[in-house]
Amino acid sequence: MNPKGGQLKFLTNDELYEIHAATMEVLEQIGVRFLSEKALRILENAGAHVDFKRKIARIPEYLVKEALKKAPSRCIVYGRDFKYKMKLEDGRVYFAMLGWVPYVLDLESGRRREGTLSDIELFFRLGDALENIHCLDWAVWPNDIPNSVVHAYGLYMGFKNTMKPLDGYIYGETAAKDNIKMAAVVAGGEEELMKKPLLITIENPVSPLQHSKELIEGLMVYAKYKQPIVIAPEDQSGTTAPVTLAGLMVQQNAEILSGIVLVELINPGAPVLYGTVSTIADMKSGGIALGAVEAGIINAVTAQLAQYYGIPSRGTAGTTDSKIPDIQAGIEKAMTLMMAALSGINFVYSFAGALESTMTISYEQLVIDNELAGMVIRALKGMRIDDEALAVDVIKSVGPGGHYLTQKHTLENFRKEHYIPTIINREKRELWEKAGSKDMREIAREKVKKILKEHEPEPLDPDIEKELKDILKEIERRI
Amino acid sequence: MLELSGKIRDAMLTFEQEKVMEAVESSLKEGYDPLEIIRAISSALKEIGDKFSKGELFLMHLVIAGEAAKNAISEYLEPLLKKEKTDRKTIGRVVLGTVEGDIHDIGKNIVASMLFSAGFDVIDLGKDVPVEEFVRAVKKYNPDILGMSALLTTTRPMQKEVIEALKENNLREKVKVIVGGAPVTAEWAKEIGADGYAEDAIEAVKVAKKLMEEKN
Repeated sequence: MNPKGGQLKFLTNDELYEIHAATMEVLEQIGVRFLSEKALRILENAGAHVDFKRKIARIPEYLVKEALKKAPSRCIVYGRDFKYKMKLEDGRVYFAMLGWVPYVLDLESGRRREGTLSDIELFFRLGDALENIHCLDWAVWPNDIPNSVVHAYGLYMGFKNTMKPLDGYIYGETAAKDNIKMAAVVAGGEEELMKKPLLITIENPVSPLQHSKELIEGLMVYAKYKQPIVIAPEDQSGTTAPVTLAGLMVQQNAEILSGIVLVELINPGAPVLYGTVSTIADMKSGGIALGAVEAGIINAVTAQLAQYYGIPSRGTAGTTDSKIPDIQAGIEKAMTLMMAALSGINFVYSFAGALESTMTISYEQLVIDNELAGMVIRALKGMRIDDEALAVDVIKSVGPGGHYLTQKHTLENFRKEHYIPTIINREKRELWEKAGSKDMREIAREKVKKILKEHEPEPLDPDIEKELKDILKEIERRI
Repeated sequence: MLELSGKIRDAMLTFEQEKVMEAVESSLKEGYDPLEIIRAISSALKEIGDKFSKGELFLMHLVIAGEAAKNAISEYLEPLLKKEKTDRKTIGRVVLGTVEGDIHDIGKNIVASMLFSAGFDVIDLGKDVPVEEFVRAVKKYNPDILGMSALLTTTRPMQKEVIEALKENNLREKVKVIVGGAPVTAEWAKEIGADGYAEDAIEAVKVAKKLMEEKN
């Protein structure tokens, strides 16, 4: 029983084609804005109709088709130890920790505060120990080091504290090049890095229908080194996108496909992911509603479109608009994560630890989300049907009135069939009361402390660490 | 002796009934004393219990090990002890059963197995046990503790009836009564005049041990 999604399908193939056709009309007649001269030139040379004054490229369908032909149907992202990897293909689903957010929920006071470099390290160590979180990211923007070195210290902390795959910083060409240089040290050279990508990175088009200069120029660096790039717009139904979900999908599709066209022109065969951060806007405040049930539907249809085009996908699910790990967080996360996973979206980003529409990360929430991810992975395994699972022999031998607790069949299969919870509480009331009547947040907080006290990540090779530190010094001198 | 306890322990930790039986049989052939073998089994049960408390093992491991120990002791070792006119040292005798009208017995079986593992002499009356039979068993076996299980709200009142019948037969003072089952709560146990109540099988052992201390 491998955990695989793809069971949930909201649209038929005909309906997916309707979205595609509508998108082609938008790309050909309206076009997409690229706030980068370099990008516009590349697109024009390939056959797009470019208005340099308005910085808009109108893209004919054949360019889209060529790009989709060049884009790989699968890609693998590795950790510094190659046995940690994400095979982004088919219906496989992987979960990532939230990253790059402005605030952290303080473990002791429970209050929101700004992050520090020490938070980054602690989150990496915590994430390294959580078995259902597959990709890590530097959690929070640290306010105790200069802004211009954050991307380098963030990645350094990652390589130092986890063997899991990491996320590369993309805002601007210089930062992107710094991260590539560091990853090449860990991979054992640029050639090796291109063969075995260590960094997945995200380009977020600015809806409606724009790609920012910083992101596009960062993207061009990652594309050159064949590190997987996710094109993931954040369309908001009702404000930056049509209020109808189908209209949102059309606009999002135009944004994603235009990004993919550019990536495949820069480096044919460079791995790309078809992504989304889209959801609805809250129509009372105009703010984003990342925990909305509609986000689940959008994720699922995004996965369907990616499957339709034959490229891997990335979603944003398991998020919430709640400010603390509470019931709202539980409802919103469980609902959207389950929908996204069952649709077979390959990579769920900005998920574990996320609160407050991904503005805040929480230690306790990260541990809670690890449990949620474990339960969702169990759902993806579905129900095994074969002779052993159908269990007629054991039903026979137990017979009416017996029990299965002492059967070898039970002993051999229970771990495969049941998800064994780590923090979910199923004790009876009296025992639970005796243990202090703790709610999940409190239990999670205790687990965070235990892991941070006991878990020692596998140390980084000292030579590699020294080389990375030299790069850090170089970057610090530059500013 | 070390060799014996290692062998029994390894067999118990396979969680296979046959392996335990084989180990007991061959230990007897090698000339080990049945009481020593029982001690080795008890220490293995204790280790399994500790692993369970730490979350390394699950309920079924406790029950499988308990049943294997029970079978080995009652089939092989106790008959030998009787021949030698010695007894297995137990910490007390428990009679238990599921009350009349109720055929749910997995919970009661688990409790029986746990109590046995903890060193009690356990007499299991089975399920759907009428009031009179509980009374008869108390007279016949003279247990330290009587345990009653009820899984249904509708059969729960039978626990009270048994306690009343014990009073009528002047047996109530002779035996401690513990009750359990899904609809049973501490309040209910108090209301019907039981001496103890446990939420699950693990707690049941603790409660039974505590009652024995009070008794002695």
